[in-house]
Amino acid sequence: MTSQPRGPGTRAARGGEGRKKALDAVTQPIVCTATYAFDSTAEIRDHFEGRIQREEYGRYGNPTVRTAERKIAELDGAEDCVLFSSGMAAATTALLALLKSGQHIVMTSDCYRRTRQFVSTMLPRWGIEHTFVEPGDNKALEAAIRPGKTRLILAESPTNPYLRVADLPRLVAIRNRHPGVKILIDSTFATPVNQRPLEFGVDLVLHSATKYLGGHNDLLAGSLSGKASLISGLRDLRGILGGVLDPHAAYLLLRGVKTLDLRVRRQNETALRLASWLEVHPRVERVFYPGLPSHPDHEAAARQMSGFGGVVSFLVKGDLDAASRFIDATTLPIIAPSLGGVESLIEQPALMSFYELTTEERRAIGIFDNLVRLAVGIEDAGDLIADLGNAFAVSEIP
Amino acid sequence: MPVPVRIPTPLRRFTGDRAEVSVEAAEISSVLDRLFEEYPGLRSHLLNEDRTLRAFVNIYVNDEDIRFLDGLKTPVGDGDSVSIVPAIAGGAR
Repeated sequence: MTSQPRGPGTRAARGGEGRKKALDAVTQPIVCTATYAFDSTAEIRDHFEGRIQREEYGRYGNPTVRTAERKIAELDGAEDCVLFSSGMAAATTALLALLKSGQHIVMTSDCYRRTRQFVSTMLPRWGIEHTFVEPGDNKALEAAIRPGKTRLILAESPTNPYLRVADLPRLVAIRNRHPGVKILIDSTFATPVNQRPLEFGVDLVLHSATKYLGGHNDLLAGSLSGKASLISGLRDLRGILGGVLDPHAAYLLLRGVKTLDLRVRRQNETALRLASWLEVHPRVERVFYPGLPSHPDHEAAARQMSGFGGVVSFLVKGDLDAASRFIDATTLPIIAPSLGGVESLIEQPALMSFYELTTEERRAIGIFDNLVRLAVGIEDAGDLIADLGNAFAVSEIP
Repeated sequence: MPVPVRIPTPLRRFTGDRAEVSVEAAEISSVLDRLFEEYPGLRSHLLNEDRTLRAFVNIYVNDEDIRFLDGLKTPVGDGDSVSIVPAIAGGAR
């Protein structure tokens, strides 16, 4: 695809797919096969000599998955994309590919807990060291780089749960000063509609496709996008580690991604409206949303994102129980982990993700007991505001 | 500085049976260019028409796949060694 880049709506609906598909269908078939037949031994030789392009075995590739990969590559503005069975399969495969014993990774600390756990408890088993830095502290990030040893800078943008936005041009400038370092951005919360890190010169973009790309809370998947040769290496490692995506899930992902632009634009609008409403609500202590001028990264976000996303985090006035009572009084959002789908989801990170820690231990890592994370779906904003407003009213202690 | 380049068994017939050759180059694309000047038979087995690496061929600097470094622009210097390795049959594309 070397023609003029198309808009995100077209890329979502039509990207990665030709006009003509198998059997004159308008949609891609779900190719359920564990393995692939060769017509003859000559075809095997042609395959291994690279004279023909075809599949060989289910763990190395699948046509339905490949179509979804091409669509997401086009959305990310990438040469290629490789899909995995989950965001964590994508993340761990990338880390295992890019880091070896004696090397070092720098990552920002406001991030998905499981990624943090892999870096801090698993990678050291193989002699891979790490440094965590506060998001927004680019001086500390650059100071943490160890010449010859640091191979990767990893950051979510926006982060989970405080929606900190990484200054991508600044990170790329830092990377350019240090040969051998690559940047991996987890852009799940942004989506390719709002932010395309590769356009800034980032090396790899990760999405938990479970969230916005799939968009319907009905599949798990993960994607990595970047230059063709880098993706080729990651695809090879996927073939060894085995974190492949089932073709049924790939079809659901293909189907869901088609409406990505529509859904995300709606979610952007609703989230901004909700964030603004929450910010002046008497029962709310503070709101975290990059679209609000009060957010520490509002300017960076406005420069590099075309929308601020669908997740709004806020502190309910009171303690752990006050936030829990509020959540229990809602009726429209579903109480569940995850985000990005058409149904709004609500959760209390202290309970859902940090349950085993004490209040003090949570505060020490920046998680407040009264923090609520709302992942806005595609319900009408008025209905969500009415429901949250009612929940505040009925959960107030008389 | 001369850089040692390990040649896989199936390609040694193009290097006079040598398992290892030496070239003077500062990055992988120059390593390949020097290699093809000395041993022209190697070219069509390693590169496609568009100068991308052929399927099922991987190049390592020390023990790192160049796809995870800088691809054909990966620098090589004093103390580095290059290996051309056929990918394990199955799964390289």
